[in-house]
Amino acid sequence: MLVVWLYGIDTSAHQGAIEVGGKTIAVLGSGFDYIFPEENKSLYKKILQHDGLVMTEYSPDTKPKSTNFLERNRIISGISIGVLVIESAYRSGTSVTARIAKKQGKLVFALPHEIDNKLGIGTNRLIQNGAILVTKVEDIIQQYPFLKYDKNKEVDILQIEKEKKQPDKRYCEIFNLILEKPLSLDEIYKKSSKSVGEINHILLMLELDGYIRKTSEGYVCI
Amino acid sequence: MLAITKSVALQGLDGYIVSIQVDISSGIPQFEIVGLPDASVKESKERVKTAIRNCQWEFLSRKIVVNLAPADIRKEGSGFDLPIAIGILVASQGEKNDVVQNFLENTIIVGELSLNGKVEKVKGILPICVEAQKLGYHKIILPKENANEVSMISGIDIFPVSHLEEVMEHLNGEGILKKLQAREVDTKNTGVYPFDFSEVKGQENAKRALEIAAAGGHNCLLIGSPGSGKTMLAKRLPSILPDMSWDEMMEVTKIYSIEGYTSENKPIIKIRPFRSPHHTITATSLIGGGRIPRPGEISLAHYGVLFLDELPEFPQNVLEMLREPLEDKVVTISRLNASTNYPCNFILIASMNPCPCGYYASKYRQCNCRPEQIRKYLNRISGPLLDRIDLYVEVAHVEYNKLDSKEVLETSAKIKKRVNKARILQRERYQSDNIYTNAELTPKLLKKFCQLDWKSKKILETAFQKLGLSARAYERILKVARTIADLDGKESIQEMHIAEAIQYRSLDRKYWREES
Repeated sequence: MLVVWLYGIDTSAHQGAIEVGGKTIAVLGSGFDYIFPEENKSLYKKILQHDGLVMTEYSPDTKPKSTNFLERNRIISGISIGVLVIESAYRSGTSVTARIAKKQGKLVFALPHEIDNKLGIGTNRLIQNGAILVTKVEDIIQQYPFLKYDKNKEVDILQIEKEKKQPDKRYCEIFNLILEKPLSLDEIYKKSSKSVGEINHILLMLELDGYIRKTSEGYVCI
Repeated sequence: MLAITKSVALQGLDGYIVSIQVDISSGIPQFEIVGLPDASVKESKERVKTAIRNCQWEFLSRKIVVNLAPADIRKEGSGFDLPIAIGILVASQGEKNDVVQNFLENTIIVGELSLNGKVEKVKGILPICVEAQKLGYHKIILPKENANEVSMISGIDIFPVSHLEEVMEHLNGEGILKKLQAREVDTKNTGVYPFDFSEVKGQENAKRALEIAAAGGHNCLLIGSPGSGKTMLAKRLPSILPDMSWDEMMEVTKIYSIEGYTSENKPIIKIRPFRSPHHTITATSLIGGGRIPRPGEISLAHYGVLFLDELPEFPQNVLEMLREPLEDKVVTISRLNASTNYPCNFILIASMNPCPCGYYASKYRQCNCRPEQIRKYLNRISGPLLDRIDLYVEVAHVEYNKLDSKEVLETSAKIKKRVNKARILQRERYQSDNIYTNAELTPKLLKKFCQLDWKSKKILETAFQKLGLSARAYERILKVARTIADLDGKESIQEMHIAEAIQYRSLDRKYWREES
């Protein structure tokens, strides 16, 4: 596991690796005296405790600079056997990394996104340009015959969908609306004949029963 | 020669009698005012002297001493001009008859003098008049320009005067002061509020929350990205606030009278106040204060709304000051000379962005704040302050096609009708408990009036477990559920009421606090 040393998805990746007992390497875009962002210091310690590695090409007194981070990306791809891009906007450091990786002869993997998702523009373009589309772990493992891997049980998504219970009849109208696509309360109000009070009531009941979840995009089905 | 006149001074909204003792004796000519006079009272020397001369009376070149008793309380304002002038004139006339003495003893005199002897209006005339009556006085002489502001007070004879001469003529038996005819004040709110909820497209959830806030007097925090309409919504809140009762009007008008915001044309405040101070406000002007404490924004928002736009931008020390007033509904300002109480029973409506850049959880623009930044930003509002807010509402961006739609939306008048109904229910329920609204419920009253059936209890329990609500949410949810039930016209709180109330606690949920 090898991750970009910034915040967001990379932090999660480091943490995920540590949690399952894996080893992870972090590459900094600054000197060791200037850990950026500050909050990641604890993570940095944790990585070392778990036999991981934190490295940088800069002298300890180098301050974080955006160009450093871009430069650093070549090291990331350089020491990796491949690069998986989770999210990437139209112009972003991630797409730069992917380009470098390709130049270095590494494999580039990407998650597909919906076409109107801004954070999916980069990954979709990568796939168009020949990156390997990834929907499950096996897609990556297959590319590297030397990797040992105990295959998980195949998950049949359709079967799970079927087994799901239907919510209470009274809540079905609204549940079906959310099933189509994530909606905010105001959007639900517009589409249904119920009052805001009633909708709020139903949404809470659905959420408590585990049918929907509130996210930043609105209410989504689980 | 000694003459004594009476006046009323205010300490907060409470008044006390000031007895103005004027003594004229032989000695080196001088004119002295004692009894802790403030600058504005000291200056009355010159106004009184000149006014008396300009009315063609003699200002004796003797030793004149004026004492304002009680002498240990600091006095301010220009209202003592008239009683001082009358005291001096009466004292310089020598022997007084019993009629005059009796009249002066039982009459409160208030008024500022201009140099030609005309009586000018003063601030705070309504509380002065009410307090005079409370303190057992039955006659008051006050400036004619103020007459309109007190014409609705009964139980005290009001004599409006416009000139110093009128009072002297009355005392000398050359004329008679005319009593003000008491009259009913039109309490109907005829003014049209310039904003209406029918102008807000979309935002049904926020509208509903504000309706609940207005109905139950709940504090409310609007959270949303820039341009989502938080301020627009808050500005329209006064249009659905319930009508004020007579007692409420009088209390609010008293505060406004002290600040000099009432006038001949606007003798009484009929609309609930809506105050929206800028975030550069100082602690003193928000809470009240000054050497002689004056009401702050929170008291000017009494029985109305205090709107704090961009809440995290307010200095933290200023926000923390709101804690006690929000709880006690009254603020005590202690200064060296006195401590003063001002009522401040207001609804706090605040707005804020969800993160420094403003676009966290927005569908239309990407937020580029780090999680730590967001947490820091949210933490600018301290827990104790959040504790006192009942409703958290997320205000989302409205899509363009919705802004453009021509659908007919509910008017404020319609919403107000529901709010009024809910308020009447509350007033009846809490008649013997000395509160007006659900928001004021104490834990003890909460137990009495917010009983839950087992179904509602179950929902609340599950919600606490599954949504990770914090414990402080409990009482708030009950209060809000009570209001929702009132809006629904239901005697008891039902399942759906409690469920809706839980939905207004989003800031308590993991979505904001931990995962973010």
